[in-house]
Amino acid sequence: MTGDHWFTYVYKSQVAERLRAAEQERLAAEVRSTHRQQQRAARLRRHQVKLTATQPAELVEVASWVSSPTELIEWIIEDSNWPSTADPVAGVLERHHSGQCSAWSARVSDRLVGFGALNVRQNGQVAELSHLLVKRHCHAVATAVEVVRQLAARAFTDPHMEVLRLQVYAHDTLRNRAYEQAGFRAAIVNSRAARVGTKTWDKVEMFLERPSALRLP
Amino acid sequence: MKSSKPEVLLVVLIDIPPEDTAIVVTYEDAVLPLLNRHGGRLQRRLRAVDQSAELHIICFDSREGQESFATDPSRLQLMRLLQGRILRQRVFEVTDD
Repeated sequence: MTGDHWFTYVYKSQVAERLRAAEQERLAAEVRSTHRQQQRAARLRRHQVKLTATQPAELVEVASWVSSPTELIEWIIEDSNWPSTADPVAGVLERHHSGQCSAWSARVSDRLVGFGALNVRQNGQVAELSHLLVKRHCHAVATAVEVVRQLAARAFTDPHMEVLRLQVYAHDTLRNRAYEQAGFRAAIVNSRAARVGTKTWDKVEMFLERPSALRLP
Repeated sequence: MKSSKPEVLLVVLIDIPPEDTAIVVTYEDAVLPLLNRHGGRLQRRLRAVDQSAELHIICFDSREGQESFATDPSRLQLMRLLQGRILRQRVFEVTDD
């Protein structure tokens, strides 16, 4: 290799190396920026989503979501068979009045965006989440995670509450991951446990234990 | 002698992945004794010769008992024994006519 060629070779290698380093730095900055944006969005949602005891008038609006499935991003009930034999929202209202469950509304900027119920079992040691409904909008999944997180926190304000349970269709891994983000862990898949129309679907049972920091001494 | 027929008779078929045999068996050993609290009884516990599955025949005096077992706090807390593994099972309600 002559001197000129050697110089060109070294120069090109150095330029290529610098370009590679710059590209890596740009990618790293992009990842950091995305992570920061996600963290900021999570903080914002935590701040924005407010859970309050459901008023009867709100149930009318929630019932209207149920009649329009495209408005919902989630739907869990104890009996996951579909079509349902009874009006599920009316059932929640009845149980809410009899004290067997508590119904909660989620609002963002005063707008009703979500709903969920806590069904107390085993003398207050267990609560089952049901009727989780979140209206479809741009941050619906993140809002759903926050609604589940706040429902769980609400349940654990009772010092006797030990563990939460929920059951959902197993195939919907995206939504199940949302429950996992809220702290739930999948444990048991019950094959063909739900009858939906003419088909049978698998159900997954998830649980969330009381955080150790909240345990009674 | 009067023999009362259980209201709910179940056959539970549990898949056991080869790498999780010990975990699943430990979990079942801990959970099955809880049946008694809810009017349930384990009638038979059978294991496949190749250890790939377990079959339980369980009866409950009432449907409420079956539901109560499902939400037993100890049963739910024992799920941590699965260490993140997901146990796959199929439950059949059967008759003994």
